[in-house]
Amino acid sequence: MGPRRFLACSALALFLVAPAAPPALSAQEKSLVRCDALVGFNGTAREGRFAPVILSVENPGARMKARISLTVTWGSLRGVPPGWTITREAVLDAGSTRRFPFVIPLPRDVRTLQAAVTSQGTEVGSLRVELQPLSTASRIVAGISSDLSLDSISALGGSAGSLRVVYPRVDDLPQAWAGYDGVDAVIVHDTYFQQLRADQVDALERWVVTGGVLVFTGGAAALQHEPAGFGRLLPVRVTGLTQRSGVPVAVGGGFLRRMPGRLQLAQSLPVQGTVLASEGDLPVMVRHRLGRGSVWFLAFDPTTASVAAWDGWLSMWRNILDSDRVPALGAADLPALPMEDPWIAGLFAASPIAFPSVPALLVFIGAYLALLVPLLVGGPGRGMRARARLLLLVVVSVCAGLAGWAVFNRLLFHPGLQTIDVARVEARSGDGLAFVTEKIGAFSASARHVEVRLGSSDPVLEAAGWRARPDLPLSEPHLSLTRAGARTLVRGIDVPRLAARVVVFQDVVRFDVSVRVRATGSGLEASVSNGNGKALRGCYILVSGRAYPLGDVAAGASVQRTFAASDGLENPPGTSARSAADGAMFRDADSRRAAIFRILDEGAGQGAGPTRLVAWMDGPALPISFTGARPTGNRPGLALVSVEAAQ
Amino acid sequence: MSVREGMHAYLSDGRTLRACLYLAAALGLALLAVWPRGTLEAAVRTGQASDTFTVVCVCFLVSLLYLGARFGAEDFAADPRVQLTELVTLTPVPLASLVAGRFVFGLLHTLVLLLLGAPFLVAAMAVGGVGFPQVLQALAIIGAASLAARMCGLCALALVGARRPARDILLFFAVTAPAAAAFFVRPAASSFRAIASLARGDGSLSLLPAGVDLAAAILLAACTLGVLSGARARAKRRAPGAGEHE
Repeated sequence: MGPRRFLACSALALFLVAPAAPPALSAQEKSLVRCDALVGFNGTAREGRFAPVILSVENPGARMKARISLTVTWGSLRGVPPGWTITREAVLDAGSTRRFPFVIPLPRDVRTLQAAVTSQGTEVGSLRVELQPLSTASRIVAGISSDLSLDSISALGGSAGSLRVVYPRVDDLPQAWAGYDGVDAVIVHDTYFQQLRADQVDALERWVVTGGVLVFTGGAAALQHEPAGFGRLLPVRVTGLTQRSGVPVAVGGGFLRRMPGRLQLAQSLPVQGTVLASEGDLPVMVRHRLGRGSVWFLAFDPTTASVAAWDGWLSMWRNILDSDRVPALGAADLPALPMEDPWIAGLFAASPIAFPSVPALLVFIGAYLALLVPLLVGGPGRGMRARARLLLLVVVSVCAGLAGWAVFNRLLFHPGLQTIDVARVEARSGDGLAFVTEKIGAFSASARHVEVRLGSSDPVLEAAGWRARPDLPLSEPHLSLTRAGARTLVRGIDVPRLAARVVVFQDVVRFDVSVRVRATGSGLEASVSNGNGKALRGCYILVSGRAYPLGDVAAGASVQRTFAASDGLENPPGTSARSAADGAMFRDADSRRAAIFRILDEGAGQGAGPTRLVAWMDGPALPISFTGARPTGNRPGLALVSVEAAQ
Repeated sequence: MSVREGMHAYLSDGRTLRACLYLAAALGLALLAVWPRGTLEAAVRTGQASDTFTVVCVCFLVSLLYLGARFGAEDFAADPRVQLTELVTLTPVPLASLVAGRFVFGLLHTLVLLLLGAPFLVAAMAVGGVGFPQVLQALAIIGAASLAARMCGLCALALVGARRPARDILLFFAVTAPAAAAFFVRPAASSFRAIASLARGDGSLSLLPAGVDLAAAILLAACTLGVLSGARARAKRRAPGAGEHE
């Protein structure tokens, strides 16, 4: 067979055999594990808020150690898009399906969610989800109910915008409070006899502390609440069922209206909170304020036809669902320049960090030149041998270099990362929990990568974008969060040279402070008990626009004081005309505290608000550490504590 | 060039030593002039990072390019042309060792000059936003450029001799033209661009400009050797056996 004939036969054989060859494996077929994601509540998430994601990973193969990552991106298509990548390690047992909960941000221009499972450096499974179809601008109310009985609440949307009611499964309820960020209220009707896990109840409680509204409805289903695990959240203890007619209901503005017809009510005993409406000694509506939010108990079932047809139904729900909750996502303002952020600007103004002075430099240059002159002026006639001159030149230069390094890079100015943080700690007396918003400004004389270590497994954080100059586009970070146990490592908050970055953290922490204020005939009696590990400094009781100084309350200590009405300072911070009192308010405080107070309390207008304790707490309020940051000496941490007094 | 000659030429000559002092004083003045005087708050607010380190580095580079070219052309020697001419035409000294000796002592002298200026760069580190790697990189780039300029000066001296201003004009263009070409055409190989990018902190530490300048210095030394060989050959043709008499 000649070569031409051989080639022709080979080509023919290839042509005939090729269609029978197996096609190249697609990416899905190559996958060893199968991934599925549930975004938001039943596939609905509110845009501009954090949203829960449950990633289900099914491993039909052998047991493996895997790295699971979730990436959500938004904004620009060029370069590395801003977003989050959350990574965690897990063991996938053979033939098992595991569910991994995540909380992701969903900005308005969010694009995709990419999940990947890798084992030993090889991707064994992946999933891509388009997020735009899943996100909605509507307000969302989550109903925990075995049937779709709360749909009529969507009528509350009205002109303020549409409202959607979603029904998450009990298993799918978030395990982190930020998972509820996109929800206006959670209404618990019944759990179909399912029990919540402790972390789910804990997340719900913490979300309420941040300003959420949690409603427990009554009727026969109320008997399920306590067995389902909601016991410690309920403002009442349900004892049974009863029937009543014409029960009163609070419809807002302090008004009560009676609901016509006979209703089945949950019989209960109040445990905490305020009974807003009752029929004799039977509580009908109870509200327990918890942190910034509230927990409600309705003794009747609002899904019954007679209640839904009542003309006061809408007013009642508006009264209940009225909330001032500030969403966690968006807490970090995006100023055109970091210094336009009032928190950072105020702190920089009070910061002790500065460039080394010109006189210090003059001394350095003068001393160096003074040492060089005898070595470099004059020739051989000066009698110095060339080798000795060389040696002395080397010694003088090396010593000057070391001195320059020590003075200008360590003693007077440090090129490393400097952080300044301010926190606002909001609590109610006796809650045992506080909502903390900690804003940290990080800046450095040299460009550097920053790592943040958080003592939390579900951090709520936001790094503000930055501009190198006002005319340049905004640069938003792509954060990389690595979860390990109860800790999280955050990367991607890079600090440009001589620039500042703003990072905002939010969390709910244990905070044991009780404040009791009782008005007496001639003044008031105040008692403060500090059960925390840190002292409360510069305490004031704010009552009706007047501030009563308490001094410091040490860790674990209690203070009791009686004030005459004349002891109160007028126009304290928090009122519109406070400047006159600023001097008195901060006469025992440093200027930094005063500056920070003005920033934090800007426009708060709470002078005539509820009676509260205002104090300062040193150090960062949340367990956060920055790698490469200088120790506390250059990390001025100051927390403004505001505790609403017990009613 | 023997060790004694080299030490004498660079560490005992009054003009050479004063040039070193002027260099240190110039760098000190530059550092003083660009030292940040505003507050840190103002620097962060305006987003205008201090260019202290960059300016001092550029001053150092320009100064050493100038001094290197003049040292290479033996401007500070009493009668440079006579010395080099005599060495080439009247002595049998191997030209390779002559050029190599000047190269090595030029390198050592450049190291001394770098050491003199290093304290200013170290002092400008923190306010300039750089670390030790960037300082070492800057010294390597400046040193290599200075060595290339020094070899350029030696080559010009061998080519044109001490005739001024012809040699100075040749030297000026020989030093500035490649620097300008690299700056505009091959930014990656430009010493000035490399120094300007140091403080930006983009994480890339490139020694390409230093490598290019070092290669240029070696090439120029080879060229000088060629020129001097030609000069010796011409001298031999004019006066056969002159070298052997020595």
